[in-house]
Amino acid sequence: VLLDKEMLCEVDDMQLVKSVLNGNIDSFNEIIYRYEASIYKFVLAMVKEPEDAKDITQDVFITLYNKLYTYRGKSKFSSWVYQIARNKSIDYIRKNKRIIKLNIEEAFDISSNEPMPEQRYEFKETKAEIESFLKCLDDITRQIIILKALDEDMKFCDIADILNVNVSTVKTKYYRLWDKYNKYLNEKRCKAL
Amino acid sequence: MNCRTFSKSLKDYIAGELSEDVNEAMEKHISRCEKCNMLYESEYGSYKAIKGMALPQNIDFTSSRYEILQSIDKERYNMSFSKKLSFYFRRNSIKYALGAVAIIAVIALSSLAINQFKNINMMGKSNTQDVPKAGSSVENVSPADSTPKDVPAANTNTKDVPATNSNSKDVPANKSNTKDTSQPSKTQENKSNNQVKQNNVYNNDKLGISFTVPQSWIGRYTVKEETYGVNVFFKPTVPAPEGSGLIFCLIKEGYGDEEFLDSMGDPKTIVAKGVTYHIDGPRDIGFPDDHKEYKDYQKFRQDVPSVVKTIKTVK
Repeated sequence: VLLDKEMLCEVDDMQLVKSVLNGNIDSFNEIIYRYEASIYKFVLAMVKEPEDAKDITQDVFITLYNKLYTYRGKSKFSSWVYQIARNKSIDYIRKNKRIIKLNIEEAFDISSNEPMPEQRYEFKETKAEIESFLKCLDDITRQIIILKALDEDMKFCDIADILNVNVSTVKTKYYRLWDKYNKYLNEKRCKAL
Repeated sequence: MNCRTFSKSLKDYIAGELSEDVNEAMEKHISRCEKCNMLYESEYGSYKAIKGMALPQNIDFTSSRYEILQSIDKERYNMSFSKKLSFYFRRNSIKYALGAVAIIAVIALSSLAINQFKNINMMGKSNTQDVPKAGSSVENVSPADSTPKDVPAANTNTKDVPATNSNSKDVPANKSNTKDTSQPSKTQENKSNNQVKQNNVYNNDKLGISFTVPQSWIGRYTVKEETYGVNVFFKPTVPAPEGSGLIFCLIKEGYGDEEFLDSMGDPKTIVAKGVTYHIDGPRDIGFPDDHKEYKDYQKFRQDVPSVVKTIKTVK
């Protein structure tokens, strides 16, 4: 499959993969263009260090290129790329013994942009308590919320594919966290009253 | 859509997990119902907050495309057919490994099965050896020896084989000889009434000699093959000195006396498979006269001419 440079942006991932496997390096360039930013975000969310995230992202694409012949098309290509990124990030975390922390501060920033002023107030008041709330999250839940946050189009089935778990597990974990967060907010509101 | 259905589907709606049709219905309901609109705002706030927890803000992203393209081997997939083939095999290496394991397992199992089959065949052959068969080459042969363990013993067939049991106490029971490990030389016919008749024909395919003995001999004689010929011995129930009890013998020409014994009857010689045998007998007393079965031995000696008459060559 030899694709014209102008056509590249229109073809689907599978065609790009076939084209790369036929020696078309422009097709690989298109793959980088499509996924580099979101993979970088995902890795950064996982490892928290921008420079390391950049190196890992490069490593992800080099591995992706070298192992491209093993891609069978059984899962979505994007899921396969995220799987590589996830594995690289976990390797990095293990090597550096880093603990994935969620962005409490940034969560505040986001919330402070919300139209509800009481919510903004509550967030500022309960910083320490949110920290303890987040500590109880397991690795899979953290990865689920990272992946869900990355892309609006990312469905639970795609996340399940990347994390190699059931869709129901992903959905349950995500909604349970959501309910827990709502419950936490309600308790805070009651206390404030 | 009512408020209950709306609240049930609200999380899925915000998470983008609903179909377009349902999404439209949800949007319509939000625009119409203030209460549900409030609920939506609250849930959406939580959703955004959770998203905010997950991802870092103000990401400063610069593409590393150039570095990546510099690091990869651009010729990796721009290659010959043989290299593509090697990628294909590497890609399917697990399949091939599993296939190889399956083939090895099949080979191992089939060789096992073949061995088992051979064993069964060998067992089958040994069974047929247990079944008395005329013409088997043996050293010690007696009709009683040929009685297989799973076939009723000859002494149970008193009516059909009166000679076998007519010899009162002196007659060795055929059953008592079943432990003898010597190979059989007699054929048996297993009739539907479970009675066994023993064939009294001695057959030696190796030497090409056959003869028929009287019923009274069954179980009471032994044939010994020697390099110089074949000796037929009386088999007493009470042990007798070794080498005693010779009834008659077939001696290869040049090994024995040239003078024939008249007591042996006719023929005097027989040619089997190109070898000439002289039919001979004991030149001395043959069996101790103080042995309690001496009379039986004498009777056997008297039967010799009739047996010699039946000697013939077989192919």
